[in-house]
Amino acid sequence: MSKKKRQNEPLNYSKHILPRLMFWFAVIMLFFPIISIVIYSFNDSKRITIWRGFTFNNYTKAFFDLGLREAFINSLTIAAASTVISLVLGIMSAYLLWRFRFWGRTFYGSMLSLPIVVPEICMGVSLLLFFNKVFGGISLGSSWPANLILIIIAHVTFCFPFVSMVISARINLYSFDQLEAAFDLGANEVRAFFDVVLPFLKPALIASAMLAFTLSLDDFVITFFTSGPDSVTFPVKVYSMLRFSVTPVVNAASTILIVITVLLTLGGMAVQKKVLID
Amino acid sequence: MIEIKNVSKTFPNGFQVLKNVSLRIEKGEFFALLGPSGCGKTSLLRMIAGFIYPDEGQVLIDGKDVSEVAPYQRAVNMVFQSYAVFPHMSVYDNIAYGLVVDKISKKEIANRVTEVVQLVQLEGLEKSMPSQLSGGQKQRVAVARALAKKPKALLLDEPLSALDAKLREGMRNELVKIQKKSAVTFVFVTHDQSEALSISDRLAVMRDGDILQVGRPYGVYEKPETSFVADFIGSTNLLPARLDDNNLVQIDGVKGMAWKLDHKWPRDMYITLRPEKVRLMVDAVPDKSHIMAQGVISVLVYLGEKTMVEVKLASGKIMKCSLSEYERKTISSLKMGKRVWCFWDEKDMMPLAK
Amino acid sequence: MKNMKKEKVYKKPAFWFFSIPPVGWYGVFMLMPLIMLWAFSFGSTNEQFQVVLTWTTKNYLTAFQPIYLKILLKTILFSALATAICLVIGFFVALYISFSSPQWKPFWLILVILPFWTNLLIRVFGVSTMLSNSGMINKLLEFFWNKIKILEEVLGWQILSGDYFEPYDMLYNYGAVVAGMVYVSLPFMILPIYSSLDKLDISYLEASLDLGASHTRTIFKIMIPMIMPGIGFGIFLTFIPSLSTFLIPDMLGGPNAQMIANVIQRQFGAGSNWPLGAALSFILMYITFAFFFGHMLYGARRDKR
Ligand SMILES: Nc1ncnc2c1ncn2[C@@H]1O[C@H](COP(=O)(O)OP(=O)(O)O)[C@@H](O)[C@H]1O
Ligand SMILES: [Mg+2]
Repeated sequence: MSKKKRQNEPLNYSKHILPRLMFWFAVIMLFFPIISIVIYSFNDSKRITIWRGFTFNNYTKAFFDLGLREAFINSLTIAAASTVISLVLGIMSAYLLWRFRFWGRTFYGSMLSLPIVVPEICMGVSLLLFFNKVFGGISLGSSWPANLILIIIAHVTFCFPFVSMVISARINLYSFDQLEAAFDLGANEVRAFFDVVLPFLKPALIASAMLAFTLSLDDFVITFFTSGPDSVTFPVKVYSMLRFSVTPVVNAASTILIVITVLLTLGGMAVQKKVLID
Repeated sequence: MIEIKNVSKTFPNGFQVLKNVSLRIEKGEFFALLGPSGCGKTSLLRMIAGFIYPDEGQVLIDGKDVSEVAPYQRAVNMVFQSYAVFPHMSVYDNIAYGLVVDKISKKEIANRVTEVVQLVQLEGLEKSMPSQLSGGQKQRVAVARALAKKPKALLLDEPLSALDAKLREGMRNELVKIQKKSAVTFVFVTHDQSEALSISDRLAVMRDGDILQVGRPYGVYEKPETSFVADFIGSTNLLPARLDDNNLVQIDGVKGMAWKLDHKWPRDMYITLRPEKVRLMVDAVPDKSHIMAQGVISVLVYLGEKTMVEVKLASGKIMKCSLSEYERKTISSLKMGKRVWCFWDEKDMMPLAK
Repeated sequence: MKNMKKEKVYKKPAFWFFSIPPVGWYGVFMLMPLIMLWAFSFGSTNEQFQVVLTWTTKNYLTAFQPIYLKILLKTILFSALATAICLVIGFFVALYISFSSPQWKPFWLILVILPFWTNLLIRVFGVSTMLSNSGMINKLLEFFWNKIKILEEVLGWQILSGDYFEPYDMLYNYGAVVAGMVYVSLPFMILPIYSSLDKLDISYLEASLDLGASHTRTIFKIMIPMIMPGIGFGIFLTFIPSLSTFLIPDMLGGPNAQMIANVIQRQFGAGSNWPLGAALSFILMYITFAFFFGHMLYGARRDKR
């Protein structure tokens, strides 16, 4: 008997026409805008949507654009600083919730999820208001890096609760007995924390550091409200370029940001895999 | 009547589950598909239900080719291993689900539901939600739901495996009763040989996508056609044997053999011997009319109604021997390391090709 | 309980060491600004253009004037529309992925998640170039338009009016805003639906088909009720962020298609009416909280059943 082509078995919805069509439609829809940005970053034209031939000029222009370069350095500085501070505060916060029982503990724990619920725009304007009234202006100084301090404060404020939640998930797997064993062997609070708790948290530390770094690097709305004219981050700079002169240089700058985020995420995943295997 | 004709099936990942399987299940019988797990029983059942289609061959229900007919257009219904009782519907709605689909009048549906609820003894639980039911009750819902459709056959995939041992036995008898009352063909999948033997009118033994033997439970047990069937259905002793030039069977270390087979049997073969047919004698030699072999008791396990003994024969082979409580009491000094005689009769042995 | 927290005697300094920095930071930089914003929403501007706290409800009354109320209602309406579109597309995409063969599944998932690693600003910029008059969609339409024109000449019929292609204005209206919200939120709808579909025991669907139900009936009566937690979470993750989206209407909607976030931003920028902006912010926050707690209550009630 020769094998004939059989029809699809009934319970395989991936072979049905509607899911199939929707999937490919969604994938094309999701990728098309991003890919077209990347393609037009090589466009040899002043306009971004009319193709005039291939060039690397936009990248050289983006590289020699002082404003872009400054914004880029600002973004990396802010991300690095807020990651470090968020990590310290996040670890303390998670350890506090795990180790100690105190008045208002449940309240504090649930308040930590506020940044997830409070709309970004509301957080942005509240910080704008706060900085304006308390510090009397939008920057603490005009010289680098003092001009970035307020943005760093804003970023830490929405990053560290996320760090705390990631670390809490890990620390809750930790046995209290281990800590007591350390005390029993003569360690004090500080030594016990650094010697036995912190090593256990390593995978969560790396994951939350990656998370904080990307959150900070990617943020637009809150930064938009807390940045001054002399403290601009990469996304804010790209936004103002889009506002005033849309040239393929913006595409080149965007492409650089896309590549950085993808590399960061892939790198983070690789590091995490390695840590989990060790 | 369900007929499977030369069916083969290979999954997309290249694994061949069914290899040229043919089978005929008669109307109204309780048929068991028996085999070790992974042998393709569920796949065969799902093919009858219509969830997978054969690559080659045909599936016929009442003489009609349904090989590629969708499950909702087939007159057979299934009881799933996990029961698949819809958690968001009451017992009544679960049982009525298949009838509502058929656009039967509300009154007729109510009648049919009452009927099957009585059949499976779920009276009073119609309004309960599945989360309030025990495992055994959920199973009854699954059976009732399928039977309400008055199917030509009910397909049951290891329905007892998720129940605990006590409940399993009760439910086993219950299923037989339901089958006899409803007179629907039951196709029952199991990997438990004692379940298959006790419950079915006929059974098929499967291995690696092949059907090895089909028959009545007694016949398959008494006359296994392959060493796999002999070993899988109950336990057995497989003794390597050869035929000499006079077609007499010879087994190493066994005395009193004068058993002649016809010349069709190959020279190298097996003899099977059920453990419960082997008797033991300590401190004496059995009567010359028996076939016998001497050895040392290496394992002794008391199981309540019976005692399992393993005797290491002089040839190095292990002879398994199952003693009833009565037999055990007649032998006084059963102990590990004791020299004993195993003996049995010629009619207890079955020849098997290698 | 694995992690019974034992009542442990501890030294006070350790507690203060671990509690002051995070709790302090949170109080000063998270709660204080929000409290100030809340106080501002009851303030008014005096002659010196300074805001003083007068406990007036005037700002809230202004916020419920038709011009603002209309935008508020449109915000809710178009967020709901975007969520509904996401739900339909997301359901089928999740269905496709969860029924794909195991070796393709992770690849399809990455494909859906990948765009959402890129910066929001860039994604919205991408959508705006797509929708612009010289963007890809208009180019595609022009291509077909020209083909039909050639066909017209061959057949001698008149199907399309005009001698050359006029690009469609797709940007700077609510349609573009909804498209942007769908674009940005789709992965958030797909992932929760996918994860509950993937956990769903296929036997339930098989049992339904086996009992004679069609695919449509099986999907609506069995599959959807059983993956409701995933669908609810997907709606939550799409709808709530859409309510307060600022960048999407800012870049795709322009002045004609604003959402509430743009109005708030204007009060803190050019409009410079901080008390009104604060009141609008809190109205937006209350709406968000209402939907948030509504979702939680719904989840709790469903779990109890
Ligand atoms: N959809 C499938 N794709 C690939 N392999 C499968 C599929 N379904 C079952 N198998 C494989 O086929 C073999 C037989 O499965 P099954 O019919 O469930 O066996 P049984 O019910 O006898 O335990 C198993 O090894 C199983 O891994
Ligand atoms: Mg099975």
